[in-house]
Amino acid sequence: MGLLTSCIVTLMKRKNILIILFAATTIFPLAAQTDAQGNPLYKRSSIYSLMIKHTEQKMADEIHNEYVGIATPDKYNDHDLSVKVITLDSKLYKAKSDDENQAVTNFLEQNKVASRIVAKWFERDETDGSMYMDLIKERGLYNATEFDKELAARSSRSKALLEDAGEQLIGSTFVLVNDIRYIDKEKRAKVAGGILRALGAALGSVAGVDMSDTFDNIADLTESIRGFRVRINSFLYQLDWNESVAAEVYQHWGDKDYFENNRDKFHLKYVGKVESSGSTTNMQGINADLPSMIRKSLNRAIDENVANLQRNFEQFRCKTPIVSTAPITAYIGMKDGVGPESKYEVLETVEDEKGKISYKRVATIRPNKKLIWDNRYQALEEGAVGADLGCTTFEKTSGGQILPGMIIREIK
Amino acid sequence: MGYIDATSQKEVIPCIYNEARPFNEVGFAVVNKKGKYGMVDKQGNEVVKSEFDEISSFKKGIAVVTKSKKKGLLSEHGKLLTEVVYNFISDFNVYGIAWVNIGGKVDAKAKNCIKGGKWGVLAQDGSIRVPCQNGALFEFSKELKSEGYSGCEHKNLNFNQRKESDTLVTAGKYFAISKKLDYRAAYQNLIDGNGNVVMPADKENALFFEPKSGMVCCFYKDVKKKISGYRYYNLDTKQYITVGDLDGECAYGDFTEQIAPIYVKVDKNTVKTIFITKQGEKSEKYDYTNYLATSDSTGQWIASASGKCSLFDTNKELIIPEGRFSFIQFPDYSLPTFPGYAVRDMDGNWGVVDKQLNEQIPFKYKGVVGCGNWFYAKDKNKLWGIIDGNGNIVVDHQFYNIRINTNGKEPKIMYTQTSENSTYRLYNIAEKKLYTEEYANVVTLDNNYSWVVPSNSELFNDKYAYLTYKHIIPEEIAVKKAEGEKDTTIPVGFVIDNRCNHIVQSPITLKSWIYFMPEVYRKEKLGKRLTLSDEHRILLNISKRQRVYPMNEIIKNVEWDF
Repeated sequence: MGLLTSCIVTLMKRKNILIILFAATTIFPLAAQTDAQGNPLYKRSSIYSLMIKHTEQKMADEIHNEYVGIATPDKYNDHDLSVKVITLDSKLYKAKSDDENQAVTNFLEQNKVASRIVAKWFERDETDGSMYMDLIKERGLYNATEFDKELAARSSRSKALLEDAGEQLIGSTFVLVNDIRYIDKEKRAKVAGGILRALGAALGSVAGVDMSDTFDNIADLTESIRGFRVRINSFLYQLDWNESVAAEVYQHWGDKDYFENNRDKFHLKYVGKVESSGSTTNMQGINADLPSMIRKSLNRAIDENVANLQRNFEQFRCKTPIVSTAPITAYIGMKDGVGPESKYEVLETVEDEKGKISYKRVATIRPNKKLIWDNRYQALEEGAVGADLGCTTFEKTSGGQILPGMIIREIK
Repeated sequence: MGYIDATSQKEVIPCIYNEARPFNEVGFAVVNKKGKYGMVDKQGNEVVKSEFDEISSFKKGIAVVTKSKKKGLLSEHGKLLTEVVYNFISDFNVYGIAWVNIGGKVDAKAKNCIKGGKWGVLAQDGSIRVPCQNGALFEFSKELKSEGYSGCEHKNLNFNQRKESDTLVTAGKYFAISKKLDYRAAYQNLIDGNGNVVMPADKENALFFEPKSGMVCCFYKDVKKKISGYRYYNLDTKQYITVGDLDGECAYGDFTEQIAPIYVKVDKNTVKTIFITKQGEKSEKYDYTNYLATSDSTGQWIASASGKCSLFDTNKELIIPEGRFSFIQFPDYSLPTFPGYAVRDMDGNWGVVDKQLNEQIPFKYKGVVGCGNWFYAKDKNKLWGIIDGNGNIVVDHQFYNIRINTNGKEPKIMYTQTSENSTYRLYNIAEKKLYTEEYANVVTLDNNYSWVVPSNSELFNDKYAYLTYKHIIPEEIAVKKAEGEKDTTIPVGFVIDNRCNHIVQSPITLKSWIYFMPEVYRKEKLGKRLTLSDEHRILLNISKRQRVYPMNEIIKNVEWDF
């Protein structure tokens, strides 16, 4: 038996000691929860992402400035820590290798990032060491009152709730280290400049003022940032959360000194890496200013890497709820790696009587090739095909009845 | 492909289609037969003949059909809403209108904008609002930035440099059109939302603005006479009225029903405001050199001349005639019961009158300002207090000055001063309690919170002050500030509740409050308050853009939020 199931788990919470017991199981499907707008709610994995800034490269400051403004992908919880940018004045050694990168791992280990991720889950107070379950309740979509009641009652269900939180929430926390490099490729963009100049002249004639200078400046800017590209190596790590690690937290709940002295007991495990293609981003539909172009290139490259990481590493695949069943649709698209050949399993969420959640496959689906949503950054402004769909439509390839709120997950 | 019954699993529509899309909510499905699209009902009857090259997905019950590269609109019931004649049909905007184009082409050299052809406007039911007869179609939209193609913003009209993905941006009450693509106002007709020309193109017009009240404000240039200035085009009489030469008179704004204010040059250094009527009369009667203001919410005007003040409505009808009062405040009509007009009589005393101008609160005050159904008033000793709509005292007259944030409601708290240069103190109106804490500056926030700068505190001697400064100024200066150096350029204070309890312990700038607010409210929901640890985290996250660390060094614990 594991630590959690073999011993009484003691939670010290504001001097209250909670003892958790266990019971037998029965499984039943779980009704989908929705937010105020009726959108299905579901448990998401969490990401802490940070960038390696190459100070020796031009555009380093501009890339840094735009990177910190990029939101966490919407299929994941934002688990960012306060450190978002680390610097390196040279290329990252062995950045192209798929093997675990020692420099990246060393940074994460030496800075005890795993312990900080755990501390964030329990909203640990640095001044007195106290910990809280509020974030777990929020992200786990647990009924807060029921959750507290079960814990206080030391019921068998409370143990299952903690196990569920551990498996589905805390254990699904990832660190994404993005090694971002600017690629200087000569590619003319004079056509766009010419158009701007022509429009400037036209505008001037309307407004009765000479606007040609303004437009010359815009045109010059367009040409100076011709061929803007970034290449990103994304290294993915996962929080190593198991029963013995969980016991470290729960058995020493709120013990300030113990946690500080034992941060080394928390670890990240290397999952893998991907490299963005470095292809030039289509700049149609955005302002011809440098921040907009950098933002678009960064967003596209990060989306590409997140999608490829999902494709390559099963544990990182996000789950998304079915929105409608006639036709079958979900708010997932090209940004999330949906392509003509993608396949997905439809999962029913089931909960045993102790509150433990698991997923049961009920069907498989594939996207309708003509109705794949292009939800990549600024696809709509670019006029990309499928950008206005709002969701991807799927077709059932096997299995039984599909209901709204069921979860889909990509399969190979 | 065909269709089977979901329950019996029996075939109900035979497998004769290349593609069979799901049935929509009204019982019809798009099918593809031998490469052509049509629609069938649940019995398999063809309701739209399979003759289209494509039928798009339905949005708001409408799909675009394509046949021989021409497009039209199809309803979810299978009814063709338009002829299939358009080269482009945009998505319908939130106002239910879409632009259409016949004959244009996507120009890859112009960032995929549509060039050429004739432009028009369709309504969501397929009816033609503006026929496709125009080489250019412009919208009035000051806010609209022509992102993606022109890289600039025009203040008056939006050009039709549109891509397929663009929609119209306005409700389409008015458009401007020209026969050919011409950006000059002189060649543009003003049309209403149904395509009727309401102001024909005039070669003297250099600019014109969207009318709000039947009068189109135009800037004109008379090349022969070498003059330019403003004029209005009356959409009812179809006549222009001239405001005047730009050197002497200038339009100030749009008409509010019957009148519009204009600037008139008195001499080299003086400009006065008068009104012009729709008939072009410049009213000397309402010649207001002292004060002129209009209420955004009601359109009412307050004006004064020679110490006499008037309140009048959008038709220039006097509500309060001149001669009785030397000052009038705009009343708050949004309240369920009208609180009264706060006015100053010709002797300089303030009081409140009702809608019939009968005295509601006696004229014995040196100042009266509305706050919800209450008024804060200054008595003969020049001390402020609060009175209700009948003149009953809510808070005694005891303060030299008070600061209130009412938001149209009776205030719960206010800040008081006992003399001109004294500090501010919190007064809790419900508790009738004046708190002893003293503040050098106060700003009232929502939910009875306030941002305050204590008058005599040593704010900046702890690590949180260091963090506070670090997110607003360079680090080396932040260290000095944290060590106690006073800063007068960047005010830093605390957020407190209605009992002077600190909601945020760390000194923060007023601007930083927006970063603290979500976590404060989240904690409130959980029945908790922000801790110092929480504040530390928020401050670190505010400053994360500025903070970078060498990858090869171990980052100090204080730089991490957990």
